[in-house]
Amino acid sequence: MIEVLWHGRGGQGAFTAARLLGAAASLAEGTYALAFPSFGPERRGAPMRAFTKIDAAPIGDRSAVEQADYVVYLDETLLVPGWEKELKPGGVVLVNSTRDASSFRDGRIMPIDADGISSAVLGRPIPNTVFLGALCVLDNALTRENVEEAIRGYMPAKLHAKNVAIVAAAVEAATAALQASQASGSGTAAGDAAAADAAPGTAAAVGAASAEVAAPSAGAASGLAPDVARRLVQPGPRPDVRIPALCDEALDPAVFARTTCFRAGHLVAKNAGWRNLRPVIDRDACTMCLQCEFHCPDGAIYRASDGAGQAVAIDLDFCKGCGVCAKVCRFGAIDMVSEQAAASALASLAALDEKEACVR
Amino acid sequence: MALNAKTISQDEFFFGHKACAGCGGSLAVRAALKVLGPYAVAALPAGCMSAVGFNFPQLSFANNAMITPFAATAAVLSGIEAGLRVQGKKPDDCTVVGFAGDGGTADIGLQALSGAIDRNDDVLYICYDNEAYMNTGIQKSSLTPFGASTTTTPAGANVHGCLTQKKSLFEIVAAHGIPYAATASVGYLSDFVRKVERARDIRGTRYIHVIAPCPTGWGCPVDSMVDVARDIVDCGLWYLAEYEGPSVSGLPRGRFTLSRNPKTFTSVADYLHSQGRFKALSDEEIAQIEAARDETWTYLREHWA
Amino acid sequence: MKRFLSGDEAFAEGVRLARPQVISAYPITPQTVVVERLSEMVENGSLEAEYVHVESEHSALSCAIGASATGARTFTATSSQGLLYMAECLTYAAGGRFPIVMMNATRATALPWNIYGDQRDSLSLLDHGWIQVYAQDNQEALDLALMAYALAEDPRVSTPVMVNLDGFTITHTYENVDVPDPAAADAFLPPYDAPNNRFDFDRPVNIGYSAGPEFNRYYKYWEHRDMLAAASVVDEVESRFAAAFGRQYPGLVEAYRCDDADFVVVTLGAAAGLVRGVVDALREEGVRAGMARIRYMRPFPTQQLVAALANAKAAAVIEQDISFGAEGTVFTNVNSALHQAGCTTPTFDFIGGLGGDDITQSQVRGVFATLEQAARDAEAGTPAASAPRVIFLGIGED
Repeated sequence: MIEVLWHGRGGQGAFTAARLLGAAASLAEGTYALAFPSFGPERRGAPMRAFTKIDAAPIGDRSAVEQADYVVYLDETLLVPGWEKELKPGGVVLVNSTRDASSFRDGRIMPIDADGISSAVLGRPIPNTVFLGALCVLDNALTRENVEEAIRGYMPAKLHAKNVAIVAAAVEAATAALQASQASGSGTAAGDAAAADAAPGTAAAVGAASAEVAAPSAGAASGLAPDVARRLVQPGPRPDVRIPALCDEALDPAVFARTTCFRAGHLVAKNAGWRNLRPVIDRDACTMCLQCEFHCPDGAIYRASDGAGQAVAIDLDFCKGCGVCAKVCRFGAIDMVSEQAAASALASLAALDEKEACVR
Repeated sequence: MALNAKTISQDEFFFGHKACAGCGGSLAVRAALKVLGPYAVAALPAGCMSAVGFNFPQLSFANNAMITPFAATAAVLSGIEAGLRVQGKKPDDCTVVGFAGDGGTADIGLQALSGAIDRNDDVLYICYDNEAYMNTGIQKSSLTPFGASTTTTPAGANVHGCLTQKKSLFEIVAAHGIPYAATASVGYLSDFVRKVERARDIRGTRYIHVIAPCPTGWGCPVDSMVDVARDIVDCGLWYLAEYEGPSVSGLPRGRFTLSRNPKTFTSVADYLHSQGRFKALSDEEIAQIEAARDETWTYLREHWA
Repeated sequence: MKRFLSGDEAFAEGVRLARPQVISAYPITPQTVVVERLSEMVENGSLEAEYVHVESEHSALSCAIGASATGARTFTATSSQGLLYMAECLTYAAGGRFPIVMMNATRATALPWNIYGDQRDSLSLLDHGWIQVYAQDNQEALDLALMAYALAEDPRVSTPVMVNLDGFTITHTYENVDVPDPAAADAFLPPYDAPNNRFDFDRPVNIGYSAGPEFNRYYKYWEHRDMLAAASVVDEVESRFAAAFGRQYPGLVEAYRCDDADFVVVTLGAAAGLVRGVVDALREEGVRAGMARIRYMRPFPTQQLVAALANAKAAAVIEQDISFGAEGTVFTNVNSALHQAGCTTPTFDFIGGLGGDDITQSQVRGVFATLEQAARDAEAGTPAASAPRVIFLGIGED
């Protein structure tokens, strides 16, 4: 059985891709497929998963895929340490990224600029069908013709031509990436998988410990002006107010499961993982009118104090990056900055500060 | 004291929830709870705000709050209020408040709401209206406006979305002779906050109907949620008003008042075109919507201004 | 104090003694008299409660849930379609572990429309998490009003209780009952205290939240366990009740002349009075007959039933419900208990009393005759394998 695990954000089309993949694969004679999403209350922007199972016999197991042959990340920020636990030996990770394959330092990870490929055709990044093209290249179970037929069968008519074009571009890109990795002799799992038809264990030896999946290193250019980068540093913590708070105490079912009554405002997870953009406040332009705080649907803006007085601050653990604050600001004091740029800029700042500290 | 962005509480009673980015409903709940304070007891039926707000062990309400059966928001509110009062446990500044969506209020929950108003139970009912069943994936409710495409009124070549008109729930509620009712929009958040504050301090049943855009269901950018909520008022497709019942106004039939009576409207077409859900509408249909707006406002200006 | 009261009136007296703080109910025949009497008691001040005039049964139970979540003692009552209309709220109340007490006047369910008694309403809802108890007469009905609260509110149980009174045969039938002294009732049933399952202004709580796949099983496991634990609490409550009022109830099952019985009829509710008379008559005729009266359908009295039926040569269930396409629900439950105990006693299911139909003495005698015949066939080695096991009383031999 070929199992594919899709990671995306609500609204990115991960389940559509999972479904199209299943439809395409099961067009082949004697091939069966299941496709299903993870079900949950999470909303648009929230990390979600979808699954495709493909086999030569009817598939009875409708439970979630725990380890997959292919794990696809429609959003690079979802690829976090621990990713390898979801991968079968010999499996491949496909990630929507502009980074170079070598920067991941793990041959099992194959980046594809799916946003770039889809933007070139659609004018905006909808990365899901790019990976159908990539999977055609990586796995013999899937043909490009069947993917195209699935697109024509299950997508609205007006999207057919563009998505077929996306798949064509993706096939080209994936083929090139595969050839490059084979030529460089890096022995990527992706290369091995295609070459050896994903025989179990083929590429299991590739080390995982050194994989670099976290934010770009300090050297990467953030594209942020230095003054904007400086504003990434929050002025201080939230004052002492009533607010739901993160807790991590052990939960005993013999206690909590005897009623449906539990401490109010008990949080165990941040919503930070939802965000692609973060608000950055220009303190010089800010008048402290507080319209941003007032209108934030998530209560993620607060008043903080530091040496320079009171300032508006962002609770980045819970900001979803919606940008309402930037729109309601009449003084243009809030910029929405990409998370990746912010991460690089913060890394650069840290490096700079370290250097300055050494100089002193 | 009139509350505004600077004077409203910095406490956050609805925080850490899993609503979509840019969710209007969550803004309405968050702002209202800040006005009502720590002794508010909230009840929410099935719907977006309960689905995103209470997932054990992620419990996003800092105050006392519970989920109710879908149809029963108002009935549970009545039970909470009666239970607290009869035990002498209700603090003076305790508001028993319900937050239900448009479907939970105007469709399945209307009977229970009517019952609570009939009894004049001392509860505040806030309907956050995002104009469709968003929790289940954008299906038509009786508050979905004419022309909106939803997953059960899909706009196609034959039918351009929802064929029914948005029910005037505010007037239906007012017709009960309720002590206080109001309409609001999260695009005019200070007005909403003022109305919640006013409702908080009135006894008996109170009802506030607040427009709360859903970028996911309306097909507009997430960062434009507040703008769209302002546009719907500015173009005249939603009005901001209050009703003071006999017990508050001293008038046998009560009194309607417009909170905003703009001299001119912004473009209905621009409002509709800003959202994907209306994109199938023809110019003629848009003209119909505009004409209906004008008729409504002729009446409102004559009777409520 | 002795009074001549209908079952509804007797139950209302029991509710008054239990001092619920919030009552929310919607009228439906044959429950109506209960809510009328309670309204009068609230009006005349003999019951200090908030009576909420809800607009439906769905709201009746929802309102009770809201009130219970504040720590108030709550009461509601319904019947038949009303019970079905509030059905979704039954699982809310049970899953939320709110110790609400509800009286259900058991009644037929439509269609055809029928306002008379049978037990299809309550028995169709056995899986909704409520303790279900069936009274056999007006005195037991009254006493159950008090005992139901003691059971529901016991912290080991924390589960709502549905007290079932047979429509008309109990609710509208008058007989003498002893109405306990209020002071003694107060001593028996102290005020409800729910420290861990109610709103709290010093330590706010979220109630009735959702719990996903990784947690849900724990809630359901404990709901089941605590319901099972209710069985022993029933015994404790009945012992305390006997000490306070002098009436000892027999636990989950009343086994009447079962010790040496060859033939046992299992039944519940008011029909037990009829079966009891037939058992006595048959005993005089030399037939070793017995009766097992199920009082509690949930928690189900598996062990008690097995004990009552273990020595029988054949057993029958007489019940006023039918799960169409299968058999009577009580029969299913009884057979499951016997099977688990390895007991191979032949069993038969007699469906009767539907829609208010009378079950007669001669029908009950016929049931015992069927059991005797089955025993003779078994002894002769010629059991009638093809004989129907589910038999509608009053419908020909087909």
